[in-house]
Amino acid sequence: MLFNSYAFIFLFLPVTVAVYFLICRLQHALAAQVWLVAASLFFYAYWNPVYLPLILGSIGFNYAVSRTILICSGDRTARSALAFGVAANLLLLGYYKYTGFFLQNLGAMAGANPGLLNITLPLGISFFTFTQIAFLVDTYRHQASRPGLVNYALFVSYFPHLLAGPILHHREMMPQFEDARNQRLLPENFARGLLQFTLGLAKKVLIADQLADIANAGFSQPGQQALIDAWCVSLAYSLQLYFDFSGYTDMALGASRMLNIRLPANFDVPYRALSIRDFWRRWHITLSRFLREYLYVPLGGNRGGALATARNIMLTFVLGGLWHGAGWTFLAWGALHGMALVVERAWRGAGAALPNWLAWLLTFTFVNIAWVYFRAASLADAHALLEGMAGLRGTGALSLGGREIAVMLLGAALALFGNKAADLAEQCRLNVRTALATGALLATCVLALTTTSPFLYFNF
Amino acid sequence: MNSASRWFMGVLAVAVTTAVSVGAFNVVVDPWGLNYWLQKEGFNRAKPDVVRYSRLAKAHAVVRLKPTGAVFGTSTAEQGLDMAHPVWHDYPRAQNLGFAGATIEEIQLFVQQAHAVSKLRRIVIGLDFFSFNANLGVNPQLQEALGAMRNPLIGWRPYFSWKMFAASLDTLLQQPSLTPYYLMNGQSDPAFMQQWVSASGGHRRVFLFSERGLVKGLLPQPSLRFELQKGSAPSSIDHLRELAEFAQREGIELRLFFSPTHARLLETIRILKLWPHFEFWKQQAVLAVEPIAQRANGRISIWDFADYSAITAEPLPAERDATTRMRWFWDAQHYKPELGNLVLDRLFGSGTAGAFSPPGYGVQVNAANINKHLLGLRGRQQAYEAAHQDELAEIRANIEKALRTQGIRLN
Repeated sequence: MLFNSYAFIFLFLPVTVAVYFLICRLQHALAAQVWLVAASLFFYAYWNPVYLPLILGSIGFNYAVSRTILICSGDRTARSALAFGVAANLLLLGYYKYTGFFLQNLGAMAGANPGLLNITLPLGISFFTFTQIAFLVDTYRHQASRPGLVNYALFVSYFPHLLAGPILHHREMMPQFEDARNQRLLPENFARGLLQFTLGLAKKVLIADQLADIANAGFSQPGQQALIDAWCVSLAYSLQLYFDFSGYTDMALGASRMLNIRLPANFDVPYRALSIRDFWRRWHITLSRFLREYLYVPLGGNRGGALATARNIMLTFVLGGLWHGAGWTFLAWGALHGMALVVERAWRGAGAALPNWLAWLLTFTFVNIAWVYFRAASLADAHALLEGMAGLRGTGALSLGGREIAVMLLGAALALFGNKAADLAEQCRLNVRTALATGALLATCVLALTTTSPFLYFNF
Repeated sequence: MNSASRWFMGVLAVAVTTAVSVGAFNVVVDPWGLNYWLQKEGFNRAKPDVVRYSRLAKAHAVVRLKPTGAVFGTSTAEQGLDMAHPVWHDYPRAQNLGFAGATIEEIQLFVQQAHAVSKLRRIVIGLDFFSFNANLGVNPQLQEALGAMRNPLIGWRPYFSWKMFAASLDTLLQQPSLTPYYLMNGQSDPAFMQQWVSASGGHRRVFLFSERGLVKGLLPQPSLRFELQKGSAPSSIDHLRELAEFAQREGIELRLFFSPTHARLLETIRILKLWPHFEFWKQQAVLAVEPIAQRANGRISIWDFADYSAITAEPLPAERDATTRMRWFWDAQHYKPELGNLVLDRLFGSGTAGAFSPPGYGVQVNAANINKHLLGLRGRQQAYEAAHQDELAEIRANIEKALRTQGIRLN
């Protein structure tokens, strides 16, 4: 189910919230949690129920592995159970996400055509797999609590984060689910949650979906864009991705806050970043956190000298790129960011500094260029658009209309100078004026919901 | 009630009031022709946006009127088949459910869903070469149209949109200067078409325009590919077969026909090097329908009007002549109801529009005669070509002009 759909806004969300607090009011905390799990699984299966057994099996399996680790704590069986659990999760993810890519490239190297494997990527698998790997590792490290099955199932399947994050950490979620203070309707939370949800919906519907027309048209014919249009296309995509994904996140955070559950922030105005390191502290923050804690640090982090650190950064970012999708374009995107971080680290090590405006310009330009790889259907398409951006196809004339230019300028202004939706929702005074504005914005968004437009991160 | 609760109630009140006001305004103005509750000359009778939303409008017509007889197809059927023709007399509220740019897959899905809502007894379907191009894909609006037929609640959704609100304003503002596009039976109003031809500078101008439009709009650029099948998806012929089988299974009387097109359009197809595809399309369509037609005992048949004849070779007025009216065609693709009536006469043997002439035009095709028929078509094509060299030069120059704007050269 999409957050930006009538079914979610008018039926699923109100019914889920109302029934949840009704059960809580009847003092049935466990039943309320069971209700949230059931609602979340319905949310997951609404689009395609085929993969419901997959997520249920994944939850059951990981819960059983975590219990085994706890029971055998301290001996070699616990370590084996952890290795088995992590390997099984990665195999599952690998099967659904990378089999086709792997066989195709193997076939290409052998000069054979293995044909198309019709493996559909189950929704949210990248997210719920990572969430559970982290839980297993922390259980082994004695850093995780011992949740009951329902609490665990809710932590994994909780609908606001299930399809596209944020990638939750058990430490910040499980206590919230069990806290009795969260089990009664708090109007303040509900109101601010609604406000953040509305702001996220506006980001998606009024900005990202409008920018999508420019980006989609340009990326469908990357070899026909001259300098000006090529830059417009790439900038439109950079803005679209930000408003789409951060809009989704704001909707997730807002919906969850209505239930008194705070999800971690995932964005912190990333296009204001003054370095690539700064960018990754602001963009998809929960993924950065996961990669740092469960990949970069276990690889050795920055503890083994400059070369080993560079290797660890590259590995982390290449794998991070591949996490987004099985394709050379994602690998190239991850590798570009890895290389940029290595260079930046060396530059910083040499004590060199840039004025802020130049640092911002270089960072944003790099991020924008790297997104071309992220979005393009193939490396050839990415290079075709980059050739246009480099002026190899002439300057050309601006082909965008007035409305498209206005949306791009508005998007750029909001991305660079606007407040975070989370801050607005937190600091907003709940008075008549803001009620009018929020109501009008909500109506504007709902009236603009004419076509189904999935979020970009549903593909990952 | 604390301040947060009051704030929430305020948000809800503003949002609901805004949405309901927009919805009510759209229901009253009805710019896409979905309900026809209030039709007032000078207020909303003419609907400038209706053609862009014809899939939706026709789906709502099915739900509202529940016709038992209907025409399906592209804009050619929509503009050319008269629902006042006597073949529809026993089919109350018969509707013309053709819509612009329909692909055969869309037609198949639309027919099946329409039958689920309104038990169809007789249907006529115009088959157009370009609507079988598998590269065209299904229009996203179709799903909304099918949804509106499946569930009346979904049918209400378009009213609650800014898109329709903008169309409503457009409808009110443009009203005095417009002629309605549709008659109440879903057929394009010939008065509108005539006005459009005159306003565009006459028939020759709209012929040239439609020939360029065909190159630009109905063939994916830059390769101008025509394919009956794309990848492993069902082919366009599969959709036609499924459609005929559905009609046979449901006991629906079905007449299929290759739509009449002006000879200039056939020449356009030839110049674009699509003639082998054109012949193959007809042959495959006939072979797909043949076994089903045999089982249906005469209730299903397929006919060919996409041929050279005195009718389809109708001469065009001179370029600057905006007043002379053609008898059979609006433009190269679209025939007039006068020719549509001859087609319906032929399909049902009713003869109400007078004796069919010229003889040999509009033949029932089947597995036994299709190859011979196609051979004859090739002969008639050569005869036309020999007799119309000036027309051919004009067509070629026109196509080259259309391609040039796309940066493509005609080989």
